[in-house]
Amino acid sequence: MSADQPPEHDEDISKEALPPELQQALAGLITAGALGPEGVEMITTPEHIIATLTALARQIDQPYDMLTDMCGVDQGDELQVVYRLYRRYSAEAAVVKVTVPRSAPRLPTATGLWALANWAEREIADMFGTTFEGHPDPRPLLLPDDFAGSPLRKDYEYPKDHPYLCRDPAREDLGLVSQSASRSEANQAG
Amino acid sequence: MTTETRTRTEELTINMGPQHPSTHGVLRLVVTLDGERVVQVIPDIGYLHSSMEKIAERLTYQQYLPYADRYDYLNAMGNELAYVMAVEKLLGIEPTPRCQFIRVMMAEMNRIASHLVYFATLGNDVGAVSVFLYCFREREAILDLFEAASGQRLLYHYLRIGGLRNDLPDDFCAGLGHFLSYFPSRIDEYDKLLTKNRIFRSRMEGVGHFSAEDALSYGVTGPCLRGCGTDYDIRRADPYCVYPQLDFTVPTFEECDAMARHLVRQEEMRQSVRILQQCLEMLPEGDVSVKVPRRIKPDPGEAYARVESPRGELGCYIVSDGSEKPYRLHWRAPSFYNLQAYPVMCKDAWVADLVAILGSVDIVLGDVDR
Repeated sequence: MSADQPPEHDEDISKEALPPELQQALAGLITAGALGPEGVEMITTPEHIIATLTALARQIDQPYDMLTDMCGVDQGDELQVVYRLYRRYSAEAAVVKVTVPRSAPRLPTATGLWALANWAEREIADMFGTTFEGHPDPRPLLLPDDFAGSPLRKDYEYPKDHPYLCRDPAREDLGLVSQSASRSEANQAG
Repeated sequence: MTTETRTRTEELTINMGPQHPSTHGVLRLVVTLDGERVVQVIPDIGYLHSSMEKIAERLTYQQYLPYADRYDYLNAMGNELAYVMAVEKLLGIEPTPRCQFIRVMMAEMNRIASHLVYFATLGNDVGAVSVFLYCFREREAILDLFEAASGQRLLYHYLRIGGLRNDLPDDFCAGLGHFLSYFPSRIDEYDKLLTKNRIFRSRMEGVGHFSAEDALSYGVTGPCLRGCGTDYDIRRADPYCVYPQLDFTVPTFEECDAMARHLVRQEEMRQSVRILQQCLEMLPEGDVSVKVPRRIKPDPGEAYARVESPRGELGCYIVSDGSEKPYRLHWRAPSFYNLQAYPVMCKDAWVADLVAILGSVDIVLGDVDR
């Protein structure tokens, strides 16, 4: 990801790729922009994410006023959240990506703009441990209330004795942790 | 006057589910009631969460395909279609014309089968039990055709990356043609049994009101959105496969209630019949699969493919890191976002309406929880 580049330098990249009215609306908000196969794609920072989404949703002629999905991606040192917007009921997409540091994954909530973000953010919080500040109802959604860990992070380790895993002591060797370990050993040996 | 002032009332909070039969799976609704009036509904989901996205990171692209079937089990062909379209986008593969037609036929047959289950279970929920048997009779005919093509009746594993498992069997088109010849008259039967039934009408009309603005904010798609009068269908808005060549209309109803959502699905089945008839006429000869390397290793990048499932916009987002396994796979599940809007539809409803409204949203819990 090119998030480590200074923003003032990256504005030039976005100026070349994005349509002029978008460049104007997003001036100073995004760090990179490109034309993808389905529409525009851009990268922004956690401080500017809500301003970016608002600018896209309130564009004058054809606003990207439909949030259809949010998705978390583990990018190593950083966690990424992908917002997928569409111009109202059309095929023109705007994909907004924002990365937060893995150690302190905090983002402002988008529930004030779209009600859809409520469950979408709760799902990402479950799976990646991201905190959405200002979320009206930040309870676990898909996972049990007492579940520990962020299962879609790449470094998630399967617990050895978790109440939700059926474990038979006689078949200890089939446990998920030991199985994946022995498999990677076998791969290295082979 | 005196009784009213003396009677002390308080709100009652009850659980509906997770084993309630009308929740169509394992959904728990925490319902707060004031007498018979619904004050608040909080859906509690996750009982069927099966790590569909985590599993993908441990399997190769081909190995994951059967899992795509299993997550929205009433629309297995549609899920496969979204998944293979996303992988083909990553690989830059264009399937053959015959394959594209057969994929559309399978998706539309699955749409009819899924809507038939909706008709059956909705009838069951609101007290019209006999409809269940009629709908399952017709669904059997579709499942027989699926079995002839793929060997499976529910989870087909028929679409493959770059093509299909096999071409259609010889008598498939004749069998489908026979089904299409009598099925429209069966839709008329359901119309008589349900839409013209006074009890059914009074259970569905004016119930579960949901505005088009709410639908935009909640990301509600599919028949629930078209029941708000919004003409939005991925097959039209963002066409895929051979849909641009086919002639069909996107039915909409303006009433924004449970009945409107029901009528959209009834009309959609007629449109699916039209699509299937055109596919049978236009089905080209030729191969059904293109050559795909045995080890699929897409270049690093990402792809998003979306299809119109019977429940709305079904999207599959894949991030590739250049290895044999998806780095990240995410399902944009229509039932998940449609269910989020359910408490809005239940505002000021009677407790008996909860079941009818939930039926009219047509969720599949496998799709909600993934």
